[in-house]
Amino acid sequence: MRAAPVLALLLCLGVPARAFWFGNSSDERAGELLAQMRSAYAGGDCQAALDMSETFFAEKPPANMREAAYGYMGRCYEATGSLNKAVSLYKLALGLYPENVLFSYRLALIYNQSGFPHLAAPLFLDVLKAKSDDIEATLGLARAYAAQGFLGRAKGYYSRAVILQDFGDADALEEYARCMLRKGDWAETVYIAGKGAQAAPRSPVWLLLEARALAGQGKYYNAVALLESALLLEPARGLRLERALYLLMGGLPKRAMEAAESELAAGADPLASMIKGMALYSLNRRGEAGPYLEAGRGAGPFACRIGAALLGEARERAEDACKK
Amino acid sequence: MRFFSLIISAVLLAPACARSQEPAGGDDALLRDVMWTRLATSRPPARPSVGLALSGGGARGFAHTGVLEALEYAGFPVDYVAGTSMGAVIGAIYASGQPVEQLWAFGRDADKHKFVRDFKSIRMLPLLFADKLISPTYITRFIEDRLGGLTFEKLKKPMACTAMDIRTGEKVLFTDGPLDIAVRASVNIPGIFAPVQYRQRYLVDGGVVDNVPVDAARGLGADWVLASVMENTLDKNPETVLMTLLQVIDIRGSLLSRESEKSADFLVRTQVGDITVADFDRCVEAGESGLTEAYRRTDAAREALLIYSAPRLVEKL
Repeated sequence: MRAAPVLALLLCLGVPARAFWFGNSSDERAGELLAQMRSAYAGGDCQAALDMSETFFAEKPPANMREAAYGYMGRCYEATGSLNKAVSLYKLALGLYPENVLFSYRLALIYNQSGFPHLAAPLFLDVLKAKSDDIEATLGLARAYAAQGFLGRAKGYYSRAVILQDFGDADALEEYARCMLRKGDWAETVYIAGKGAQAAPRSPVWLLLEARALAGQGKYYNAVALLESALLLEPARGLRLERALYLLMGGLPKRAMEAAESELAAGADPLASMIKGMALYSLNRRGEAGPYLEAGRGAGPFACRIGAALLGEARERAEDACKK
Repeated sequence: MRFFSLIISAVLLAPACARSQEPAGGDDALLRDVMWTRLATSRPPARPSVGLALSGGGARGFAHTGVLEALEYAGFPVDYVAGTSMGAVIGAIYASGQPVEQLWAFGRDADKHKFVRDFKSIRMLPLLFADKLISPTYITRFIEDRLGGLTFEKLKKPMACTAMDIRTGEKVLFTDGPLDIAVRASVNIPGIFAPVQYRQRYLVDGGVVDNVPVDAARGLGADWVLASVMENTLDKNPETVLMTLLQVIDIRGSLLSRESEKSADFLVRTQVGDITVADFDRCVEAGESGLTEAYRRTDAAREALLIYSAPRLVEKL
């Protein structure tokens, strides 16, 4: 019985002592602040979430709460365009919580978008180690590899991503097919374009991609036929001129010239002029080609140099002229 | 501020497989890409013939493998190959028709290959006491295993490789005869390995006289030459006599390269960081650097070749 008052006293002292050592009441306050941060973040008020963070950290919250707060803060920095702060924060958070793949993932996304794919790739790999079927990380890794030129590796991850999506994401399929065009993998381009046509049948892009795969193999007549089908879906200038170019490369300069002339009838068009100029040049009508090649040089710096080469202009002079 | 530069870089660096209805770059890129399909599917004389000049560089020379892979992606036509030292090894395997994947496999296993022992076994003191140059048993075996029995005449693409006659200082250009002997001579480090005796000559590494064999590629018949060279950022003192010797040869090769590079029509210069000529355990790293750099420069290379080719290409449509 004599011990009871002592015990009661110890219990009374124990409450503030425990709060002092373990931050109990402070934890509650921090928990409230974290909930407010979460709600501000969810409501799209990132500035409010970031404003609360200072008060939140002053409460010396436990590790799990800090971890969650870093997540909200990082994404809020991203949303408000402070990418440098987001990067610093994610790096710090990754050092403290290396198992949390959210930080790896967000950091990798920023690196990919900022042109640092070599930094993004290992982070995406970490995410995939923890969650091998994460579609966004798989796509992110494919993009990181593609940007560095590792198109063989990119193919593996693009392939896995579109399978995980059951070939239902037309954007991912288009990106994959363009990457395979870049790799010169014609069979895969055609296969993925076919899957894309099932996912988004009204888009002309699949016919365009397939046409490019055929042109890459020198099958220009087949490519022209596909572009004509694409033009039925979308009568775009770019498609018409690409068709004209395939006609020219396929050895049909007169038909290419006709196609270019119909564009020129609608108004000045440097690329159409270049096509007509090249067609005339190939027909050995160099005098007539001259003015069209000259006009075609306006299509861009490369067209400018091609025009100069066909006009027989000295290389140094052409370099100067085309820089201007 | 640091990240502003990140963002600016992001804008400047076009994504590799960017999504858009047209090629990034609009009409200009469309014209380039379509013209390229014609060039890539033509053969000389409908287009100019293309040569590759692969420089020396020891383990760093493995960067050529990545360059070859990027050129394959782009459908870059290669009609002739010329190589010096490691460029001769890579070039010979490539010209024999073995796929680039085979070269990567060699790079992945390079540190396991016994030829690394030829380097590791070099001890300067015994070398000085015995006053006898080493015979690189494993390097010889490695080359014989891959190229033995092949001749220049049997290659899928015409090839040249360079060596130097240690007695006269003459450059020796191989374009015919047994391939393994020529390649062995081209990688033969002077002062360490015994000269290869062949056709009354005493042959050592061609990097000492012609590190970037652009002229050799032209001599084979190339109208237009793409050269692949490496650049490192080594700035440390070599710690052994061997490394000092290798570094001297390397510096000499680099100085020679600068002159030869000027005569190339297009140059892919891969930064290989601190990889040394003897870092055979870092071959893949060098190869990946080569791939990234060549991929980055692919459009520029295609444009340069197209501009050079335009009159002939359009005339022959």
